[in-house]
Amino acid sequence: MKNSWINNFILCIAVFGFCTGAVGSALADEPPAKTEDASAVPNRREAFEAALKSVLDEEQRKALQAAFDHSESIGEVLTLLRALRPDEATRALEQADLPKDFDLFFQGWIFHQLGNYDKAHEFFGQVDKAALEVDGYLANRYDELSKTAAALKDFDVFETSNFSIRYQDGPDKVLLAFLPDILEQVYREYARIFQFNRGEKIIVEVMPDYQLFSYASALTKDQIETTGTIALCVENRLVMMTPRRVARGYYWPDVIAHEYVHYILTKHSRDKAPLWFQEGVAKYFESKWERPDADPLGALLETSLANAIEADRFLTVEQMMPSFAALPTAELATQAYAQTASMVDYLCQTKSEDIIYQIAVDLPHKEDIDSVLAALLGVKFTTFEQNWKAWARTRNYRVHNEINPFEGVTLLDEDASSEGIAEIDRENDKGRKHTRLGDLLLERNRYQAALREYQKTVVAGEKIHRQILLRMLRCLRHLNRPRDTIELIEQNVIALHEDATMLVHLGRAHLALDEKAAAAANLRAATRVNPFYPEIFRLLMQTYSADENKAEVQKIERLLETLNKKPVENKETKT
Amino acid sequence: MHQLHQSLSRYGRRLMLARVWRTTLQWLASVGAYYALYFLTALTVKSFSINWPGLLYVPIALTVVFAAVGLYRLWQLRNRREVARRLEALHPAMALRIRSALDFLEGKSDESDGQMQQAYTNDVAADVDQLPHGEPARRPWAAYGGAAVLVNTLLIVLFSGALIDKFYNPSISFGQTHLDLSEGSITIFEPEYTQIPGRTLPLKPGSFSAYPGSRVRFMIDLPEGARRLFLEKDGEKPTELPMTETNQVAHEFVLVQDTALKFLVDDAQNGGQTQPYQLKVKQDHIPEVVLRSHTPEGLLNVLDPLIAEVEIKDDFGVKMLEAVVTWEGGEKRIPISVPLERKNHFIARNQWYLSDLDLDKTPSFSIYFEARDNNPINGPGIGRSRELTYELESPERKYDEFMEIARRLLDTMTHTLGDNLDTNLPPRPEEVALREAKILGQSIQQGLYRGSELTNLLITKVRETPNITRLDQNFLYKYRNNISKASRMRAEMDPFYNHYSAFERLEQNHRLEETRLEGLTYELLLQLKIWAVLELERQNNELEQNLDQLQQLLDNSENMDQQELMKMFEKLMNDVLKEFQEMMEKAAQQMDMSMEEFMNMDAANFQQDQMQELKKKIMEALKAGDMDKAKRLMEQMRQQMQGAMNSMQQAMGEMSPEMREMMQQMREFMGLLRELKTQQEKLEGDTQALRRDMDGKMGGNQAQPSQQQQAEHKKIMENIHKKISELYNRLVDFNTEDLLQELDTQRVDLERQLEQGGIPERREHAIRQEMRVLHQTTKFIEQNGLDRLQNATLRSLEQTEKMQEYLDQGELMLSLETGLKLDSFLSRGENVAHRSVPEGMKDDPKARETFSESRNELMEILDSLRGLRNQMERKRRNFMQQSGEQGQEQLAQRQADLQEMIQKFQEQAQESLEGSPLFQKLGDIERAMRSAQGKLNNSQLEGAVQYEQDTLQKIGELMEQLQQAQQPTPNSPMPMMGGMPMQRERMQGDPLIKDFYIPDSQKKASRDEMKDAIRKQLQKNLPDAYGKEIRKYYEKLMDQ
Repeated sequence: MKNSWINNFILCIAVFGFCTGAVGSALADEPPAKTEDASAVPNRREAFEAALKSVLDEEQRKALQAAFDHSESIGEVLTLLRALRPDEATRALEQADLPKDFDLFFQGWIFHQLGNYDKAHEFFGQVDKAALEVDGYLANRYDELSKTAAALKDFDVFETSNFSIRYQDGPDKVLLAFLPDILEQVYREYARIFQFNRGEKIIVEVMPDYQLFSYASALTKDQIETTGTIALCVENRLVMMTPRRVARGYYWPDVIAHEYVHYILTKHSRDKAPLWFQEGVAKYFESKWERPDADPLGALLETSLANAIEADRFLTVEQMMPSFAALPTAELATQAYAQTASMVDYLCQTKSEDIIYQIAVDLPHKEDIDSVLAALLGVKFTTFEQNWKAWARTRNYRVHNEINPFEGVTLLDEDASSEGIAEIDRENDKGRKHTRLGDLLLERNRYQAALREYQKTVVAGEKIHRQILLRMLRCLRHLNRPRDTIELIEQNVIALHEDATMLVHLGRAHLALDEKAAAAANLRAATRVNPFYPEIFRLLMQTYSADENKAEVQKIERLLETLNKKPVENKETKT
Repeated sequence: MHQLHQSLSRYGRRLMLARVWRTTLQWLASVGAYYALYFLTALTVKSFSINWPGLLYVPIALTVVFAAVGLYRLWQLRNRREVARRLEALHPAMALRIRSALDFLEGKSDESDGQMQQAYTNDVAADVDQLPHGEPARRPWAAYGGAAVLVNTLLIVLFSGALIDKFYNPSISFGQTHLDLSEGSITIFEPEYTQIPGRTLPLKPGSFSAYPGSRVRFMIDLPEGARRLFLEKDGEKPTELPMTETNQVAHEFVLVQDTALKFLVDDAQNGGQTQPYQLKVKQDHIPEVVLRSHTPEGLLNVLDPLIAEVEIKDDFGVKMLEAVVTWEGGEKRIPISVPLERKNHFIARNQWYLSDLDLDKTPSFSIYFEARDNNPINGPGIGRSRELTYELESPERKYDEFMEIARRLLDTMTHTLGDNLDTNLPPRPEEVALREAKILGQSIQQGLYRGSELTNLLITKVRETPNITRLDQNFLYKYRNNISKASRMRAEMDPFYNHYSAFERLEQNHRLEETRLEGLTYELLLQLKIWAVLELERQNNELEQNLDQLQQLLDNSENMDQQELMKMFEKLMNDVLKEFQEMMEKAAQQMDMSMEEFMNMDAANFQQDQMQELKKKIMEALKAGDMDKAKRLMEQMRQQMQGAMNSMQQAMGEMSPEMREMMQQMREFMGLLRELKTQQEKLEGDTQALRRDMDGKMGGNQAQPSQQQQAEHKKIMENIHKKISELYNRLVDFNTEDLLQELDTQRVDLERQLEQGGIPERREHAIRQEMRVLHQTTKFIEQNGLDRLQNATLRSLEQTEKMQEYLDQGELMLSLETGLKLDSFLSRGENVAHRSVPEGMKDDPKARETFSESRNELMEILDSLRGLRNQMERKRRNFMQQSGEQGQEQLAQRQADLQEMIQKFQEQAQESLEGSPLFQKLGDIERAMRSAQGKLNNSQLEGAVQYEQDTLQKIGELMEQLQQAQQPTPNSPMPMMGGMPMQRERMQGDPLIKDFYIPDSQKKASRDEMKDAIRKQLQKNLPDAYGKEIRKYYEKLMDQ
């Protein structure tokens, strides 16, 4: 009870501190715009002290006082850290002369942002956590950072030209076969679009499980699952969940690209970019590194937006705060992405894609986005928003009925090697009787008969439910009917590139038809969703002839070997 | 006084003393001599006895004599002169001198010389002084006396025993050994238990026999001159029997063992003894208890009743008959009533369910019958039957076996469906395709045969499988029929493969078959899931009950010893934990998963550890005597366990949404039934009330049959009763064990004939035919066919008697109702007889004919009663129409509402329960309701009540089946409380079978009895005031 009271109190102080210009003062180029008389501070301090005397003991009061005394410096360092500028934060810290524990903690934090986890861990180890308790936020952050640092310090590092990839030795190493190339490609493309050149190497971390990812992202498992936040740009680095711990995997190249856009924007805008802008731009550009003409929305977002327009039910930018990941439902999160991506699309359509860079770099120098937009577009944000709505209505966004609404992701405790056939949820089961009968037959390897039962559940003109489809594919595979397999998948799977299972089925079917190129293409596509599915590599090997592609075959063999490795876990963070 | 005088006086005193002493010694010597002689005679002469006269008379006489002699001797010394004379006689030297001296002194002498006289006198005086004192003893009487005393003392000391014996048991010598006591009689009263009347016989020696406990009375008129009569029994010392004044002697005794006695008459002239009278004890036989038939020994299913028929014989009657059930660590005696009129020979037919036996958890038990006869004298004689030993089948194992077969059936059906679906019929007939299709068709046919076989197997297993209800049995019957239909259809398709012209029909049938097989497979799958759900529910209930018991144990712990409590608690707790573990494993198995997959293993282990920890804490609290803490911890544990169970159910539910839904539906189903029951009961009551009301307003509505009809009915009923009784007797006469043995002998005989060979073909055929019949008969008996027939007969008999009673009392509607029940029993009996009585036995019990004839006769009464009922109904309806009564319509509406409830539930649960027998049963209920509604709309109250009751009965049945399905297996909760009849307690809590207390009385009536009685009363048209009172009483009764 007492602690929560104190935390609230500290929060007040922090809010007060930031509001009174501490945030402003953190901007290096501009002196803080002081809105209040400086003499008011000691008075309020006295008042606080008087009020606190009655409720806090001596030690707590001292800590609180220390925090209060240095709230400005702390605010400054924090702001720099949020703007992903550890070097500047180091300088600010040197000048701040914070109490020892705060100093150590921030030093550790800075090393953490710099990717020097050993050092970070060392500093965190010296911090007396009790001293940080006066501020709930700092104390929590300390917990999260120290735990991630402890885990990450044992991670292996793989350096590319522009990236420093951190991963846990074990199956995650498989990602190294694909990730560096993609990252470099993304880097090249975005360097062009955003005129961004890195300072230090960009750190990319592959989190081996959701617990560690939770620490890094400060999101709960539920939040991650509801909103599908499986990667983040945080603490001066890109963090992604390993696809092997996400059911069905995910299209990680776009996801990491998305986070990289955030990274660039935060750096460009010194963390001044509003959330809608951040997410909108990231969403808009996430696929453009590879496919410049890619639809910025995609079927899912388009559907969501079409529905929102239809119902005239838009989310305000305030409602989207503080994070899309904190939105209560997956539908709302989807709509938020759709809206913001469309807004950015509107920006780019009305001006050009360059305007994004302009806005981003203007933001640190202007008060807010309003003034930036006013300068660049000649309208305020509200007008811009209205204009966008009018524009959006003319875009004829349509509802894609075949698309299932986004249902979040499912995090796994164990590695998912392949997608199993799960129980069918009731709502989606149209012909339960036939499905059950099909299952009975399938269990007894009566594939032909099972397939006929499953076919009875198919409603003309509707896509086949995924679980039924999987069952049918299994039957077809055993019946050796690759043509039918390809046809079935093509007819029923919409976002094929995000569906490793289907891609593997396709790959296998093509292989059976001796269409090796097509097979290889599908299988490689599958690695972009779930590179941990050994079947992909086994099939892939079959697409190569052992003599001609000796190196490739060896590479795949090594990959398979890696996949069988157990993750090397840090003892302290054993989950 | 002169010196002489003095001397003489002195001398005289001394003499007197000496004489007294001597006389005394003489007396002593003579008495002593007498006694010595007497004793010696008594000791030496056998027949000489010591008696009071001998002991006293002679010594007293001697004493008197000696006293007289003594006195005489003293008289002799009466004066001095006599003393002087005695002295002179003693001493001749003094002859006359003393008397002379005395004369001188007394002046009687002539001598006048005084001096001389003086001198003489002095001389004499001096001489007298010098005379020796006393008289010289001629014999040593002191020695004689002493010797006599010594001899007697010695005799008494040495032979005291013999002498006392001689005194107390005087020996009489009875010379004559064939004394005839002709005047008198012997009467023997046999004991009461024998119920033999008493008998009187002439008093002639000889042999007699009687049952132990008989009273034997001798009346003897003694002959003239007889003084005493002695009785000698079994060679012992004769005892004298008291005699009346009329010289009569009566002697009576209770005969408990063989006895020989004779009488001895003491008579002056005609003394002697009679020849012995031999009284022999007849043997009372112990009861003979023979098992006539019984459930075969060995494995016994817990759901099957234990049937045993015993025949009991006893010479005088059985007082008590008990069935004694023994098992390891326990015994229970079940009293069986003995028919009042037939105590000597009767047959007791018993049927118990295992729950009646209250066995502890035991794998086996034995039972025997023990009869005690009514002999209170040297009994009771105890007779025992052979001991029957049964092993209880493990219900779980049975259930698992059942489920295994069910799974195999599902497997078979799935493959059969697969065969059908795999059949590829081209658009046009092609030879190759048809050939392949034909092969698959054969496989389908085989699959259907196999499915049918497995279903049959399941049907036979249903009887012995606990938890599987009649509903399931119905399902299986229906399932088998459907498979048979499919099989027939498949057989019909066979020729189509060879004719191109029939190709279209083949295709058509093939599609039809596909649908049918799909239905069959899916139906079975659902049923399997229902079973799994019920199993889980049941286990859940069981665990709940066990936890209840633990709680109860703690609640009732005040009166228990701490050690005992702890021991018991620990045992129960271990059981609970073990059961819990097993339950989890079983649930995992149901889901076809390993335990690790089913539950998060760490969580499960953690839970287990926590429970163990809690158990430890509770034990500690118990040890410390802190009951409150123990209860608190127990509550905590209970919650934890329930939590675990919930999560387990959830886990199951999550894995299968169907199962979760089904479980939910089942619960709702039970709720619906309860609600329906309550409402329907109320509706029935209201309909009855309306009917009463109408009848009351009409001023009575009781149709009466004519007298002639009544007489006819009576005659018919008596006839039916007679027929069925006779049938029963015929059936009882079959002793199955003997019969089986006989059949076996016949079979062996026939087999031998066949083996020997060399018989003509026709004869061989006949023998084989005979053997088949024998086989059928054996099978019939082994499958309890006789039992079933007997049951049907008994029930029919019961209903017949009931109906007779109702008819006698003029209760026509109740008669009709009972008549319909009787009809159904008769028809059931007829069916059983028709189906199961083999050819070989047909002529013997004639069961089918009897049932059929009885039914035909009964029909006559039923028709007549129906006519009367319709008459009443018409009358009432007309009255209602005339008086504009609306009540029935409201009732009809209520009935319609109930139907709507059912329909709603049906819609709601359609997906998960459709096709299950539960649903069909619900349909039956709805149909009965609809009929009731129709009757109500048509103002036919009588019919409405009947259908309402029918509905109630159907609801009750369904509820019972559901409850049964959800109840723990009958014998598994028992281990919990060491023989506490938990099952029974639970049963008593069941409103369906609860006993009803009649207010203000001690009697308890069963629900059925009570219902009948109340209905009977309510249907009577009673006078107003009295009627109200009666109604109030019954309303009070109904309120309970």
